[in-house]
Amino acid sequence: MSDAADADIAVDVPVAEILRGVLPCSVRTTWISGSLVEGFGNTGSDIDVFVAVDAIDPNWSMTRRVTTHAVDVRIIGKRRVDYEYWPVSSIFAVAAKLADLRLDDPATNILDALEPVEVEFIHRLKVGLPLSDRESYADVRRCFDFERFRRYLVQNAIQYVDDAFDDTVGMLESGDLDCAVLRARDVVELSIDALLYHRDVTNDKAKYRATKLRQLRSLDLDGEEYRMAFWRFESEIPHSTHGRQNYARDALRFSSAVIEAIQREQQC
Amino acid sequence: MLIPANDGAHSSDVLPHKAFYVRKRRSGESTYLIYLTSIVRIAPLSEAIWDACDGRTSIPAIAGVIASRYSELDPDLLAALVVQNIECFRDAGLLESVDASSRRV
Repeated sequence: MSDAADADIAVDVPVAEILRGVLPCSVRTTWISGSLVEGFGNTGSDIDVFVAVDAIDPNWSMTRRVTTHAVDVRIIGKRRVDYEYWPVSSIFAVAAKLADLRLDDPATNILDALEPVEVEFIHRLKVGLPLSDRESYADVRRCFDFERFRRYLVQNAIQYVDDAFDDTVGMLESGDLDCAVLRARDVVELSIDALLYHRDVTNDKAKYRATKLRQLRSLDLDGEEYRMAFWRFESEIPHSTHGRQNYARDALRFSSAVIEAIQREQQC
Repeated sequence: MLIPANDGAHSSDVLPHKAFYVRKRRSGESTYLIYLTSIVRIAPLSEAIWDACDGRTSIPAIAGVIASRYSELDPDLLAALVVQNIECFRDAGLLESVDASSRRV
Protein backbone atom coordinates (compact mmCIF):
# COMPACT_ATOMS: atom_id res chain seq x y z
CA MET A 1 0.00 0.00 0.00
CA SER A 2 1.34 3.47 -0.84
CA ASP A 3 2.06 6.09 1.82
CA ALA A 4 -0.64 8.31 0.39
CA ALA A 5 -3.11 5.43 0.71
CA ASP A 6 -2.00 4.98 4.35
CA ALA A 7 -2.62 8.66 4.90
CA ASP A 8 -6.00 8.42 3.22
CA ILE A 9 -7.00 5.74 5.71
CA ALA A 10 -5.59 7.66 8.67
CA VAL A 11 -7.61 10.81 8.02
CA ASP A 12 -11.00 11.45 6.47
CA VAL A 13 -9.85 14.19 4.11
CA PRO A 14 -8.46 13.01 0.73
CA VAL A 15 -4.70 13.42 0.47
CA ALA A 16 -5.02 15.16 -2.89
CA GLU A 17 -7.22 17.78 -1.26
CA ILE A 18 -4.73 18.26 1.58
CA LEU A 19 -1.86 18.68 -0.87
CA ARG A 20 -3.81 21.31 -2.80
CA GLY A 21 -3.71 23.45 0.33
CA VAL A 22 0.11 23.58 0.40
CA LEU A 23 1.38 27.00 -0.63
CA PRO A 24 3.29 27.11 -3.91
CA CYS A 25 6.89 27.20 -2.74
CA SER A 26 10.11 25.17 -2.75
CA VAL A 27 8.80 22.13 -0.92
CA ARG A 28 11.34 19.44 0.02
CA THR A 29 8.80 16.98 1.39
CA THR A 30 5.40 16.84 3.07
CA TRP A 31 4.07 14.54 5.76
CA ILE A 32 0.94 14.15 7.78
CA SER A 33 0.92 13.50 11.49
CA GLY A 34 -0.89 14.13 14.76
CA SER A 35 -3.51 12.37 16.82
CA LEU A 36 -5.54 11.04 13.88
CA VAL A 37 -2.50 9.37 12.36
CA GLU A 38 -1.66 7.86 15.75
CA GLY A 39 -5.16 6.53 16.21
CA PHE A 40 -5.86 8.82 19.20
CA GLY A 41 -8.02 11.32 17.38
CA ASN A 42 -11.72 12.04 17.39
CA THR A 43 -14.24 13.97 15.34
CA GLY A 44 -12.90 17.25 16.75
CA SER A 45 -9.22 16.52 16.08
CA ASP A 46 -7.36 18.60 13.54
CA ILE A 47 -5.00 17.33 10.87
CA ASP A 48 -1.35 18.33 11.12
CA VAL A 49 0.49 18.66 7.83
CA PHE A 50 4.22 19.31 7.95
CA VAL A 51 5.90 20.95 5.01
CA ALA A 52 9.71 21.06 4.85
CA VAL A 53 10.68 24.09 2.78
CA ASP A 54 13.90 25.82 1.76
CA ALA A 55 12.77 29.04 3.42
CA ILE A 56 9.65 30.82 4.63
CA ASP A 57 8.66 33.77 2.51
CA PRO A 58 7.99 36.75 4.84
CA ASN A 59 5.21 37.83 2.49
CA TRP A 60 3.17 34.70 3.08
CA SER A 61 -0.01 35.31 5.00
CA MET A 62 0.26 32.98 7.98
CA THR A 63 -2.02 32.34 10.96
CA ARG A 64 0.94 32.13 13.33
CA ARG A 65 4.68 32.63 13.12
CA VAL A 66 7.18 31.40 15.70
CA THR A 67 10.95 31.37 15.61
CA THR A 68 11.19 27.85 14.24
CA HIS A 69 8.30 27.71 11.78
CA ALA A 70 5.03 29.22 10.55
CA VAL A 71 1.50 27.81 10.67
CA ASP A 72 -1.29 28.29 8.17
CA VAL A 73 -4.67 27.09 9.47
CA ARG A 74 -7.32 26.04 6.96
CA ILE A 75 -10.70 24.33 7.14
CA ILE A 76 -11.20 21.48 4.68
CA GLY A 77 -14.61 19.87 4.85
CA LYS A 78 -15.32 19.49 8.55
CA ARG A 79 -11.68 19.32 9.56
CA ARG A 80 -9.28 21.98 10.66
CA VAL A 81 -5.98 21.45 8.89
CA ASP A 82 -2.80 23.01 10.31
CA TYR A 83 -0.06 23.40 7.71
CA GLU A 84 3.23 23.76 9.53
CA TYR A 85 5.96 25.16 7.30
CA TRP A 86 9.41 24.27 8.62
CA PRO A 87 12.52 25.64 6.92
CA VAL A 88 15.16 22.92 6.58
CA SER A 89 17.52 25.13 8.60
CA SER A 90 15.12 24.91 11.56
CA ILE A 91 14.79 21.17 11.13
CA PHE A 92 18.56 20.69 11.08
CA ALA A 93 18.89 22.93 14.15
CA VAL A 94 16.44 20.76 16.11
CA ALA A 95 18.26 17.61 15.01
CA ALA A 96 21.59 19.10 16.07
CA LYS A 97 20.18 20.14 19.44
CA LEU A 98 18.99 16.59 20.07
CA ALA A 99 22.34 15.16 19.00
CA ASP A 100 24.23 17.53 21.31
CA LEU A 101 22.25 16.74 24.46
CA ARG A 102 24.50 15.39 27.19
CA LEU A 103 22.37 12.45 28.27
CA ASP A 104 23.51 10.23 31.16
CA ASP A 105 25.89 12.92 32.36
CA PRO A 106 25.31 13.48 36.09
CA ALA A 107 26.94 16.91 35.83
CA THR A 108 24.45 18.14 33.24
CA ASN A 109 20.88 19.10 33.93
CA ILE A 110 18.83 18.31 30.83
CA LEU A 111 15.49 19.43 32.28
CA ASP A 112 13.39 20.77 29.40
CA ALA A 113 16.49 21.09 27.22
CA LEU A 114 14.19 20.65 24.24
CA GLU A 115 11.37 23.15 23.84
CA PRO A 116 7.82 21.74 23.73
CA VAL A 117 7.52 22.68 20.07
CA GLU A 118 10.74 20.77 19.33
CA VAL A 119 9.54 17.69 21.23
CA GLU A 120 6.29 17.78 19.32
CA PHE A 121 8.05 18.20 15.99
CA ILE A 122 10.38 15.24 16.57
CA HIS A 123 7.56 13.01 17.75
CA ARG A 124 5.35 13.96 14.83
CA LEU A 125 8.14 13.30 12.38
CA LYS A 126 8.69 9.92 14.04
CA VAL A 127 5.05 8.82 13.65
CA GLY A 128 4.26 10.70 10.44
CA LEU A 129 3.22 9.41 7.04
CA PRO A 130 4.80 10.97 3.95
CA LEU A 131 2.48 12.69 1.49
CA SER A 132 5.06 13.70 -1.09
CA ASP A 133 8.68 12.90 -1.97
CA ARG A 134 9.17 9.83 0.16
CA GLU A 135 12.96 9.86 -0.30
CA SER A 136 13.29 13.39 1.04
CA TYR A 137 11.04 12.46 3.93
CA ALA A 138 13.33 9.53 4.73
CA ASP A 139 16.32 11.92 4.54
CA VAL A 140 14.68 14.25 7.08
CA ARG A 141 13.95 11.31 9.39
CA ARG A 142 17.56 10.13 9.13
CA CYS A 143 18.68 13.44 10.65
CA PHE A 144 17.07 12.41 13.95
CA ASP A 145 18.17 9.77 16.43
CA PHE A 146 14.77 8.66 17.71
CA GLU A 147 16.29 6.31 20.28
CA ARG A 148 18.18 9.26 21.71
CA PHE A 149 14.90 11.21 21.70
CA ARG A 150 13.21 8.43 23.68
CA ARG A 151 16.03 8.41 26.24
CA TYR A 152 15.82 12.19 26.61
CA LEU A 153 12.08 12.02 27.27
CA VAL A 154 12.57 9.34 29.94
CA GLN A 155 15.28 11.32 31.73
CA ASN A 156 13.29 14.51 31.52
CA ALA A 157 10.16 12.81 32.86
CA ILE A 158 12.08 11.32 35.79
CA GLN A 159 13.27 14.81 36.72
CA TYR A 160 9.65 15.91 36.84
CA VAL A 161 8.82 12.86 38.96
CA ASP A 162 11.63 13.71 41.38
CA ASP A 163 10.42 17.26 41.75
CA ALA A 164 6.85 16.15 42.48
CA PHE A 165 8.07 13.35 44.75
CA ASP A 166 10.09 15.73 46.92
CA ASP A 167 7.21 18.21 46.96
CA THR A 168 4.93 15.47 48.30
CA VAL A 169 7.40 14.44 51.00
CA GLY A 170 7.80 18.04 52.11
CA MET A 171 4.03 18.58 52.18
CA LEU A 172 3.51 15.42 54.24
CA GLU A 173 6.20 16.49 56.68
CA SER A 174 4.61 19.89 57.12
CA GLY A 175 1.14 18.35 57.52
CA ASP A 176 -0.33 19.88 54.37
CA LEU A 177 -2.30 16.78 53.46
CA ASP A 178 -4.62 18.38 50.90
CA CYS A 179 -1.71 19.54 48.78
CA ALA A 180 0.27 16.35 49.46
CA VAL A 181 -2.47 14.08 48.19
CA LEU A 182 -2.89 16.02 44.95
CA ARG A 183 0.85 16.27 44.39
CA ALA A 184 1.11 12.52 45.06
CA ARG A 185 -1.38 12.00 42.25
CA ASP A 186 0.92 14.09 40.03
CA VAL A 187 3.76 11.76 41.01
CA VAL A 188 1.76 8.78 39.77
CA GLU A 189 0.85 10.49 36.49
CA LEU A 190 4.40 11.63 35.82
CA SER A 191 5.76 8.16 36.65
CA ILE A 192 3.35 6.65 34.14
CA ASP A 193 4.55 9.20 31.58
CA ALA A 194 8.15 8.11 32.21
CA LEU A 195 7.13 4.49 31.73
CA LEU A 196 5.31 5.28 28.49
CA TYR A 197 8.36 7.11 27.13
CA HIS A 198 10.53 4.20 28.21
CA ARG A 199 8.28 1.94 26.12
CA ASP A 200 8.79 4.31 23.18
CA VAL A 201 5.34 5.91 23.38
CA THR A 202 6.75 9.37 22.73
CA ASN A 203 3.50 11.29 22.35
CA ASP A 204 3.70 13.79 25.22
CA LYS A 205 0.06 14.84 25.37
CA ALA A 206 -1.35 14.29 28.85
CA LYS A 207 -4.86 14.35 27.41
CA TYR A 208 -4.16 10.98 25.74
CA ARG A 209 -2.64 9.36 28.82
CA ALA A 210 -5.51 6.91 29.22
CA THR A 211 -5.31 5.85 25.58
CA LYS A 212 -1.55 5.45 25.82
CA LEU A 213 -2.03 3.34 28.94
CA ARG A 214 -4.23 0.98 26.95
CA GLN A 215 -1.36 0.63 24.48
CA LEU A 216 0.95 -0.13 27.39
CA ARG A 217 -0.91 -3.37 28.01
CA SER A 218 0.57 -4.79 24.83
CA LEU A 219 4.02 -3.26 25.39
CA ASP A 220 4.70 -4.18 29.01
CA LEU A 221 4.23 -7.45 30.86
CA ASP A 222 3.05 -5.46 33.85
CA GLY A 223 1.07 -3.03 31.72
CA GLU A 224 -2.34 -4.07 32.97
CA GLU A 225 -1.17 -3.89 36.58
CA TYR A 226 0.15 -0.37 36.03
CA ARG A 227 -3.07 0.65 34.30
CA MET A 228 -5.23 -0.62 37.16
CA ALA A 229 -3.04 1.11 39.74
CA PHE A 230 -3.17 4.34 37.73
CA TRP A 231 -6.97 4.36 37.68
CA ARG A 232 -7.11 3.55 41.39
CA PHE A 233 -4.93 6.57 42.19
CA GLU A 234 -6.90 8.77 39.78
CA SER A 235 -10.31 7.87 41.10
CA GLU A 236 -9.95 6.96 44.77
CA ILE A 237 -8.64 9.90 46.78
CA PRO A 238 -9.76 9.29 50.37
CA HIS A 239 -11.35 11.96 52.55
CA SER A 240 -10.01 10.97 55.95
CA THR A 241 -6.68 12.17 57.29
CA HIS A 242 -5.41 8.63 57.71
CA GLY A 243 -6.64 7.68 54.26
CA ARG A 244 -4.90 10.63 52.64
CA GLN A 245 -1.64 9.85 54.41
CA ASN A 246 -1.80 6.28 53.18
CA TYR A 247 -2.74 7.41 49.66
CA ALA A 248 0.31 9.69 49.45
CA ARG A 249 2.60 6.99 50.83
CA ASP A 250 1.23 4.37 48.42
CA ALA A 251 1.59 6.79 45.51
CA LEU A 252 5.24 7.40 46.35
CA ARG A 253 5.88 3.68 46.69
CA PHE A 254 4.16 3.04 43.35
CA SER A 255 6.32 5.71 41.73
CA SER A 256 9.49 4.21 43.19
CA ALA A 257 8.55 0.79 41.82
CA VAL A 258 7.91 2.21 38.34
CA ILE A 259 11.03 4.36 38.13
CA GLU A 260 13.28 1.68 39.58
CA ALA A 261 11.92 -0.82 37.04
CA ILE A 262 12.73 1.65 34.25
CA GLN A 263 16.25 2.29 35.54
CA ARG A 264 16.86 -1.43 36.05
CA GLU A 265 15.95 -2.09 32.40
CA GLN A 266 18.08 0.84 31.26
CA GLN A 267 21.06 -0.72 33.01
CA CYS A 268 20.51 -4.01 31.19
CA MET B 1 16.02 0.47 67.74
CA LEU B 2 15.86 -1.56 64.57
CA ILE B 3 18.70 -3.95 65.30
CA PRO B 4 19.64 -4.73 68.90
CA ALA B 5 23.42 -4.46 69.12
CA ASN B 6 25.18 -7.84 69.27
CA ASP B 7 21.90 -9.60 69.61
CA GLY B 8 21.22 -11.62 66.49
CA ALA B 9 18.43 -13.52 68.24
CA HIS B 10 16.04 -10.61 67.83
CA SER B 11 16.93 -9.70 64.28
CA SER B 12 14.54 -12.28 62.88
CA ASP B 13 11.71 -10.26 64.41
CA VAL B 14 12.67 -7.14 62.50
CA LEU B 15 11.54 -6.63 58.94
CA PRO B 16 13.46 -3.67 57.51
CA HIS B 17 11.38 -1.63 55.12
CA LYS B 18 12.55 1.06 52.74
CA ALA B 19 10.95 4.31 53.83
CA PHE B 20 8.30 5.55 51.37
CA TYR B 21 9.94 8.99 51.25
CA VAL B 22 13.27 7.69 49.94
CA ARG B 23 13.84 7.41 46.23
CA LYS B 24 16.59 5.32 44.67
CA ARG B 25 18.05 6.78 41.51
CA ARG B 26 20.79 5.89 39.07
CA SER B 27 22.91 8.60 37.58
CA GLY B 28 25.70 7.59 35.25
CA GLU B 29 27.33 4.54 36.83
CA SER B 30 26.30 5.41 40.37
CA THR B 31 23.26 4.67 42.51
CA TYR B 32 21.95 7.04 45.14
CA LEU B 33 19.38 6.99 47.92
CA ILE B 34 17.75 10.39 48.13
CA TYR B 35 15.61 11.88 50.86
CA LEU B 36 14.92 15.51 50.05
CA THR B 37 18.36 17.14 50.28
CA SER B 38 20.07 14.10 51.84
CA ILE B 39 21.88 12.00 49.27
CA VAL B 40 23.72 8.75 49.96
CA ARG B 41 25.76 7.06 47.24
CA ILE B 42 25.61 3.28 47.58
CA ALA B 43 27.77 0.44 46.25
CA PRO B 44 26.23 -2.54 44.40
CA LEU B 45 26.26 -4.75 47.52
CA SER B 46 24.52 -2.05 49.55
CA GLU B 47 22.00 -1.63 46.75
CA ALA B 48 21.22 -5.35 46.81
CA ILE B 49 20.68 -5.14 50.57
CA TRP B 50 18.53 -2.04 50.16
CA ASP B 51 16.39 -3.73 47.51
CA ALA B 52 15.81 -6.65 49.88
CA CYS B 53 14.44 -4.36 52.60
CA ASP B 54 10.85 -4.90 51.51
CA GLY B 55 9.14 -4.99 54.88
CA ARG B 56 8.47 -8.71 54.52
CA THR B 57 11.97 -10.17 54.82
CA SER B 58 13.83 -10.58 58.10
CA ILE B 59 17.48 -9.65 58.48
CA PRO B 60 18.68 -13.29 58.51
CA ALA B 61 16.59 -13.92 55.39
CA ILE B 62 18.09 -10.86 53.72
CA ALA B 63 21.54 -12.23 54.57
CA GLY B 64 20.50 -15.49 52.90
CA VAL B 65 19.38 -13.66 49.76
CA ILE B 66 22.64 -11.75 49.59
CA ALA B 67 24.73 -14.86 50.27
CA SER B 68 23.09 -16.68 47.36
CA ARG B 69 23.73 -13.72 45.08
CA TYR B 70 27.36 -13.29 46.17
CA SER B 71 28.17 -16.99 46.55
CA GLU B 72 31.88 -16.38 46.01
CA LEU B 73 32.11 -14.44 49.29
CA ASP B 74 32.20 -15.74 52.88
CA PRO B 75 28.58 -16.00 54.16
CA ASP B 76 29.58 -14.87 57.67
CA LEU B 77 31.27 -11.80 56.28
CA LEU B 78 28.22 -11.06 54.15
CA ALA B 79 25.88 -11.50 57.12
CA ALA B 80 27.96 -8.97 59.05
CA LEU B 81 27.87 -6.58 56.09
CA VAL B 82 24.10 -6.94 55.85
CA VAL B 83 23.70 -5.95 59.49
CA GLN B 84 26.18 -3.11 59.11
CA ASN B 85 24.43 -1.75 56.02
CA ILE B 86 20.99 -1.95 57.55
CA GLU B 87 22.28 -0.10 60.62
CA CYS B 88 23.64 2.60 58.32
CA PHE B 89 20.32 2.86 56.48
CA ARG B 90 18.49 3.04 59.80
CA ASP B 91 20.83 5.66 61.24
CA ALA B 92 20.39 7.78 58.11
CA GLY B 93 16.61 7.64 58.59
CA LEU B 94 16.06 5.71 55.39
CA LEU B 95 14.17 2.75 56.89
CA GLU B 96 10.84 2.08 58.43
CA SER B 97 10.97 -1.00 60.60
CA VAL B 98 8.24 -3.53 60.99
CA ASP B 99 8.26 -5.87 63.95
CA ALA B 100 7.34 -9.31 62.64
CA SER B 101 5.94 -10.31 66.03
CA SER B 102 3.43 -7.48 65.79
CA ARG B 103 2.05 -9.06 62.62
CA ARG B 104 1.37 -12.39 64.26
CA VAL B 105 -2.21 -12.99 65.18
